[in-house]
Amino acid sequence: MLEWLYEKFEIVNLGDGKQGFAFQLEDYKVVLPVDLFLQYCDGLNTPPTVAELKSVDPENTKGWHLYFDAWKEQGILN
Amino acid sequence: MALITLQQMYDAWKRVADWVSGANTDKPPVRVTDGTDTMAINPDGSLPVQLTGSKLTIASFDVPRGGSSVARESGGFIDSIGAGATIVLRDVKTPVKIQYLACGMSNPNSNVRLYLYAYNSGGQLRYLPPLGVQFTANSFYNAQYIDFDAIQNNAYTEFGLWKIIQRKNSTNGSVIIELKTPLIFPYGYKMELVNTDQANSIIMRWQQVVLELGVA
Repeated sequence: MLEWLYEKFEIVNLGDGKQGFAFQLEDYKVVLPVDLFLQYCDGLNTPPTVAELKSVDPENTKGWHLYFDAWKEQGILN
Repeated sequence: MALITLQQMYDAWKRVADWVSGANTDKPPVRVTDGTDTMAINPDGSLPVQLTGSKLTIASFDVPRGGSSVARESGGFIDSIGAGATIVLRDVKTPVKIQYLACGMSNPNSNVRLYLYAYNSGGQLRYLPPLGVQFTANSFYNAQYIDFDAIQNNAYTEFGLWKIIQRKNSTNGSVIIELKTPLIFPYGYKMELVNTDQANSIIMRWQQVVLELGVA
């Protein structure tokens, strides 16, 4: 999954040795922590599908469904 | 012919450098004020001076002037921030003066923070204060961010670089703040909105308006 992130997204430094990956959402760039996303994707296939990603958090507690939909629109996900 | 040693050259340069930088307290330091064509002070307050052999170089760089520079207004709406997400509101790597910056947030939440960074000459982000700003012990620089939930109900309270101009009640609380002085960033700046809660998104309405001068 980590290699897929490196391939598909811009990797940015978040400080304190942490990395994030960036993507465009409408007029803004959004950055998510790499380690947090890898933890979220634990057990999923690589690359994940939008449905698989949403199934991890069906109530959208994290509010990431919007981001997954954007990745699909941008051709990053199927 | 009188001979001047390298040490004498250095001593002479050092007296001037200390005067300009304010390190020498027997003279008032040189202050760069708004409207000048160039400035020769780094974002950290030091002088970009190099002494190579007998050659003294004082670097300088252009600073935007209101009359000849480009004004840009940017703003927008954000309705939520995902868990652990950072939203890059502005990222400018050219000399810029922020004449006006106002931002507002509904439902102030202690997990939402607004960061303002300055770029240095090497293109790296740093928290050092931008020029033209006086900092105090409780300044924005030391806090490094604004915690919206920490802002109290006091109207017109100053919070580092920022001045709170309005705060509604905590039930439908919203905060509107603005800069209390224009800021000059010789190498650019970056402004981010961060949700430090890694488990939950935050639903709110964010708005900002930035008036920048000198952006090419």
